[in-house]
Amino acid sequence: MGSPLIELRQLALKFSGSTIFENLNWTFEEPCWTALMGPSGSGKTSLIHMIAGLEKPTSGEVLVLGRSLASLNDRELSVHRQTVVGMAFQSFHLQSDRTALENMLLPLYFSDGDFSAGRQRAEQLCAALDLSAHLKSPVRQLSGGQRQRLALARALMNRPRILLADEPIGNLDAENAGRVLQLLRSERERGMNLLVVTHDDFLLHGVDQVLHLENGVLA
Amino acid sequence: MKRASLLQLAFSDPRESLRKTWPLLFGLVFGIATWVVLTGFTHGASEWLRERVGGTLPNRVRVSPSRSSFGPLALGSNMNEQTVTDCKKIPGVEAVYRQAHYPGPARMYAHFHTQNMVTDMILDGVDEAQVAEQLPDPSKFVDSTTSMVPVVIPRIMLDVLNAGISSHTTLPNLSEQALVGQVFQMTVGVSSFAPGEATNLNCTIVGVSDQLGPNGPTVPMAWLLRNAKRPVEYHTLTLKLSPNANLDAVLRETEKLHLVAPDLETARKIGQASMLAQALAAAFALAILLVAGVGIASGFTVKVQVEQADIGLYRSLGASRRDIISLYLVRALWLGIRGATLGVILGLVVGQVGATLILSLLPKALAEGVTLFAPSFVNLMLAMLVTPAVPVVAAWIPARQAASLEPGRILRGH
Repeated sequence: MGSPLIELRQLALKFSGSTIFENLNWTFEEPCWTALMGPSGSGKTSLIHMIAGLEKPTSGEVLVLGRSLASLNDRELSVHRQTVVGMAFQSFHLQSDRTALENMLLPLYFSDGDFSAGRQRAEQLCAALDLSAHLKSPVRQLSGGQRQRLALARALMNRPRILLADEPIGNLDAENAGRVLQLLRSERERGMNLLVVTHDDFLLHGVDQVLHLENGVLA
Repeated sequence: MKRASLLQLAFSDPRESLRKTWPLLFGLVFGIATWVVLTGFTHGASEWLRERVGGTLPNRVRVSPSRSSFGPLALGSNMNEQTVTDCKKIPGVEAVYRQAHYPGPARMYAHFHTQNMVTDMILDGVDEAQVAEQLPDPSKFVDSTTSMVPVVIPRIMLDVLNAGISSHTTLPNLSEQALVGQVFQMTVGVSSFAPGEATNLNCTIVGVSDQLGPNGPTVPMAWLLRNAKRPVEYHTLTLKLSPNANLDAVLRETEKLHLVAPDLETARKIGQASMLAQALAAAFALAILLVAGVGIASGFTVKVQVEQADIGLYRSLGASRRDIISLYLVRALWLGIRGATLGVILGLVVGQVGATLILSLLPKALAEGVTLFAPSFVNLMLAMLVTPAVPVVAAWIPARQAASLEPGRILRGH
């Protein structure tokens, strides 16, 4: 048994009267590579947003590395997002007027990071995801698949303790999905914990556990 | 260090390019350019007027007897050698220069560009040192027993003559260069309304001075004292002050001698009027800046709405609420700095071009050496300091609104 990484305690989420889930209890232990599956609208994205401290649960609490996110002030939550978690969004959230490299360096502005080391890290990640040729291209010139890989690379920039990825291969062909899987494996080997929301069985290769969130039940 | 990173992020934002922020910049640039132009002209005009009244030499005060009159009854003191001695004793006074009218009538005969001029006039005498600094060759303005008398023309007399020449004739204007070395005839002791024994003189103009006040042609005081048929009373004394003299203390002492400094008082009034005019100009510019500020506040509110996805992204990448506020305020400050710089440059260019155009319409002799547009350093500094504060204040509420957005909710919405 590893140490508790993420603990969900009596977690509930309700949107305008309808309950998405409630009494959700789960402990993710370290090391962790978990795939979270479930039908659309089951609350998967909300759940990883809560773990990232981006959304607040209707009730209950989320503990990450033993600290309740509800007890953190704004500054501590910022540090949590800078160093503990890295988010790769389903809809990418890239800045289209900036280049791929500039998008990847964005996290460094808030974490007071080393930009020269950050550029090296960005080049390594882009090489692993076959994006090196597009490093200086504006995001608006990239394809959907390239954007998806770029969003994942940005989430990995600060070497977070936990990667929270929402459908990271949803727009990718088999070859690029393989590259993503390979990168996730190598990050996992370096000690990163992965919680990946997916509908794609391809990503299930190598995961420690597969969880299903359906009808408010996590199992 | 982190602040530097945030500055870098704000400055590198493609949405902050000059092309994209121009609508918000316009009000700032217009307001600050208006400020620079209006205060520059007000300051320049008042400085020019002050120089015309008080002269260009520093540390000098012209005093004359205080007089009050009621019809034919005039009350007041006259100035004589005792007054000069008393003034010399005032702390801070380095020298006292005397100025007096010739005690009798005088008449001038001059020839200028085929035109003959005959006029009654008042002849003045002055201590040589009073005007020496402004003469091309001071050694020529000394008393001598030769038949050629050196004369200095008061600057203000030249201005009046040139204004008349410009308005009523096609003759060229008089300038110092044109006048120096010219010779004219003068008779003293007689005028068109005062017949008497005349003495004919040949006079040569040796310079022009702004230290003589609104008086007639001026000869050396020694010549005047030597040739006056009656006792001479001084109408003006010029006190030359030491550089560290306390002007107010000197004026208190001259007041005790029943002397007043009308030029200084006029200069003070010009200064007050100038301050008021500059304040009005600044208030007008501030009103424009206020309107610009309202526009910027609206612009930033729209920015926050449009950039919600980016705000959510920054929060998800580790930006605190304070970082978001800082980002927007830095962008506002950057807008203000660019607005101030462009506004000052535009104001200086427009002011300079405007002044050149105005001066080109004036007679050359009047326009020569005149700085109509003189923006003061203080006003420029104020503009550079106040302008950036406008967008920062205007962006404060939108920045706080941006920081209060829930990142999860806005990311879900995009």
